[in-house]
Parts: sequence; C-alpha cells; structure tokens
Amino acid sequence: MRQKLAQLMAQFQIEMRMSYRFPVIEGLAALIFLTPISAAVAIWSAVSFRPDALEYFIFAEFGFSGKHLGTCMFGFTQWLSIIVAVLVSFTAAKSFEDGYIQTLLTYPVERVTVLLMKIICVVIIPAGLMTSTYLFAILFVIPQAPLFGHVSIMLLGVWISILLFATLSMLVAVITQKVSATAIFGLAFGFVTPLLLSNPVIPNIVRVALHPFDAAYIYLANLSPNMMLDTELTQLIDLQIGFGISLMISLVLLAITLWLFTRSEIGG
Amino acid sequence: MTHRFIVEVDKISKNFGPVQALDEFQLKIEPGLFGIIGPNGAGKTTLLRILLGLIQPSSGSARVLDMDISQSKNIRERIGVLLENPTLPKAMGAREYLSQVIKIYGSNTDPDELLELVGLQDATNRQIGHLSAGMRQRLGIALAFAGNPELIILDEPTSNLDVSGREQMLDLLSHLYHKSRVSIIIASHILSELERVCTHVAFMNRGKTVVQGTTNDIIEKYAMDRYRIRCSDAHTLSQQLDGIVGIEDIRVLGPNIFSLRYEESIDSIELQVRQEAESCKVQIHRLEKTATLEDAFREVIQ
Repeated sequence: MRQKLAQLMAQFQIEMRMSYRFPVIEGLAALIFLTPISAAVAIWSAVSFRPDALEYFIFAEFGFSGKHLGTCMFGFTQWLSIIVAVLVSFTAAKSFEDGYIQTLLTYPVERVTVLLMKIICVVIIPAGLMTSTYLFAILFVIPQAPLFGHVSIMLLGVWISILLFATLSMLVAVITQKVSATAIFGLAFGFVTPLLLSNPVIPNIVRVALHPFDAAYIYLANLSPNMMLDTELTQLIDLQIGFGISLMISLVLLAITLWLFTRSEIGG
Repeated sequence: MTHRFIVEVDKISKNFGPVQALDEFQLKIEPGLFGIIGPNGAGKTTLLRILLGLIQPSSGSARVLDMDISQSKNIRERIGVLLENPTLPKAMGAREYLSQVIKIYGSNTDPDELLELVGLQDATNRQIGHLSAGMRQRLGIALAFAGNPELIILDEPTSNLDVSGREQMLDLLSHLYHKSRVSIIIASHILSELERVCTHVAFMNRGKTVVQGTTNDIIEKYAMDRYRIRCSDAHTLSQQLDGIVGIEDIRVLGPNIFSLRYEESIDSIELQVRQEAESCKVQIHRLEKTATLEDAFREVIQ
C-alpha cells in the first residue's frame, strides 16, 4: 500500500513538473483572481453614488447577494471551457505529441492511472483555484453574507462544468492525440455551444447539462428578492436535474476515454 | 531467476493499414547481449513496442521473461527500456527525475550510484533540457537500470549521437553488461556497432527473421570469402574485374572502396586484382580479407 502510494506520488510529481511548471498555475491563479476583483470594482463604482450604498452592500434584502455572487465570477465562465481544453492540451495531448506518454508507459504504470492522474490535475487545479477565488470574493471583495444555497449552486456549477469540459477535452485528446485539435475543440465548445444553447427552443435542462456554470449564474442573477416564485422553483429543479445529467455525461465520457486509452496504440 | 529464453516470439504479425510491419515473425532470445539488426522499416521498433505492450499484435503471441505480453505491467516491472530518442521532462533535474522513476519501480536503487555508473555524477542537478544528446542517452541508460531489471531493451541507443558519443555508449553498454550480467537486447541498423558488443544477433528484413545465431557463426557462414579493396577508382576497377572466373558478387561501397567474393587464397586474388588494376591504371591502396557482420548482412539480405 505504502509502495503504491509512493508510486502514485512519484507519478503526480512528474506530472506537475511536466505540465504545470511556472507560470502555468501562477498565471491561471492571477487570471482567476483578477476576475472577481475587477467585477467587484465595477459593482462598487456603479452603486457608490447612491446615498444608501452602505446598506445596499450590507443587506441582502435587495437581492444583491445571489446576483453579484454570480456576476463576480461570470466574466470567467466563457473562458472556462477554453482554459480547461488548453490545460488538457498541455497535459495529455502534448505528451502524446512529444512522445512522453510512450516513455512513461515503458515504466510499470497502469494506463488508467496515468490518464486519471491527468484528469484529476486538470479538474482540481482550475476548480480549486476558482473555489478559493470565489470564497475570497465573498469574504473580502463583496462583504455580504450570501446564502449557503447560493454558494453551493455556484460552486457545484464550477466543479461540474470543469469536470464536463475536462472529460470532453480528454476524450478529444485521446482520440486525436493532437494539441491543436484539443485546443480548437475547446475554443469551439466555449464559444459555439453557448450560442446554440441560447435558442429558446432548447429545453432548459439541456442548457444546464451542457453549461452548468452559465445556468447556475443565470438562475442566481434572475432570482427575485426575498421570495421564491413558482417559475424559480421550476428553474431550480431544472438546475438540479441538469447538474445530475451533466455529472452522468462526465462519468460516461470518462469511462469511454479510459476504455479507448487502454486500447489505443502508443507511437504505432 | 534464470530463463531458457528471455524472449519468445511466435508468429507475430502486425499491420498498420495496408503496411505489414511484421509478418509471422518468430524469434527466441537466450540470455546475453543480443542484437536485432535490420534496415529502417524492417519492423524492429514495432517488435519492441509489441513486447512492451505499447501496441497490440494483429496475430500471434509472445512471451517476455516467461510472461505473456498481455501482462504488460508485470513485464515492465522487470525490464528496463530505452526507446529511440526518448522524450524526458526537460524542466526536471537528472537526479530528481531518476529518483521519481526509481520510486515508480518501487526499487531501492541509489540514484547517485546509477548516475555515477553511467558517468553523469557531475550533472546530477542539471536540468534534463540542458544535457547534451550523449548525456541524455546516458541518463536513459540509468533510467533503464532504475528498477534492478532482469532484461534491458534498447532501441537504436546510438541513433542521435556523434562518433565519439557512439563509441562511449557502446563501451558503456559492454561495461554494464559485464558488470551486471543483465541481459540486453539492442535493436539497431548500425551493424558495426552490434558486431562490437553483441554475442548473438538476428537479422530482420520486411517483418521477418532472416537469420539468427551467434555473431561469429553468422560471419563465418556468410562472409568469410569476402575481400575488401581500397583503390583510387573503385568503379573502374570493379567493372574490370567483373566477369573474371572465381570473382563473384562485386559491391561498390564508395568511390574508393569495393568488396567482392573469391573462394581461392588471398595470394591468388591479389595477383589477379593487381594485374587488372595495372591494365586500367588504378592504384591499389589496400586489399584485405574482411569478414564483418555488414558483409554477412548484405549476403543474407541479397
């Protein structure tokens, strides 16, 4: 058990040194942290002229809490799928292209472990950074007391979105084994699907399932102050079901990716 | 553990679309220093990748250290590998990376000892990206020894090295073999190198084994009657000698060198060649009876 753990740690350290060397994480952290700060500055500027500005910020009865929680991070959502795709390109597709995966697979490592390690890093690093930024924003940038439910919805949206984008991009990386194809796919998914999903014909659940973070933001941004309308209850149920579907899609994609990778020919 | 055969390949075929890389390939390798020789595209690398579980054969079976190749991870636990032009993490230090690989193998090898063994004791903290090609190959050899292997597989270990780097690499391999007695399989298309270090060889061509045996037996059998002639104009003299009774299989190897087969004594051929050279005003620099693996390979492949 201890030896297995040491093996996993060694693989993890190589993965980190290979794919996340300076300034990948540092740059990503800076980018993510700048988003709430810039959003907060805009919010403060917009309301600071009001005579009741202080009350506006302190009390949640204006419905400020949920909306601004979302606004704070929403600027980042469009980039989320692209950033995840770029990370997958860095970690998985690049090692196919430059041949390191071949070197790695001459050591006594399981293919499943190799890929899971990459996916875990791709999910945990941006999602962890976004979570910490989000909490940082709540504590310091927008000093309110947001509802626990709102925070949960936003964080779930972040994690499920990143998991979905990561598994989808990883599938593309394993199939194409190309950095460019993986990155282009991320760009396309990030920019094209929101446009397609904005069509009112598309059911709300599909929208939630394919872009959970956007859906979470839209739900919070449109909340009525101090009460829940029937339509909002329906939206909340859609959100919950959509999150579940998104999670299921991610797990199915992960299973397919692992299955393909264990059977793929390396350097053939 | 001692094995009768460290590798047994039984009628393995491998197709890449319309290209047949291996065609019912068969091979049995005994412990020792073994060379797999073949021109580019002969299927050497494909064979090694199949043995490592990186690709699957289209048909046939193979065993490495008495384990079926389907048990790829178990095989990789007991062997060390150096692929052709291996990709290594450039940002990591040589010792740092070697230490992590040793942990992956779960071995108790001392990384400093290994680095010293391959002559990299002065570059332990240098980033892999800053190592020369020769040093990277040495590190590759150290990595192959990281898990106390019973067998080491090297694919074109000298392919990106200069002449002195090649010499050093061959000396290192020979030294490591005699020191550790770990069986080594080297796949290469550079015959002179394999002749220098390998006790047994197999010739591969177009996905098949053509000949297999000890290096000396193969040279003895296929290349003993060959002469190599260095002269001022190989083309003219070779044409002049063509058709003379007893002289066969003339091969021009360069503007000043050619080889031929002649079954009589060296005195007899020397006389013949000098006479013909004089008649066509070509100067002979050297005439010697050679028997190299390269000659044997040419003979066999033809």
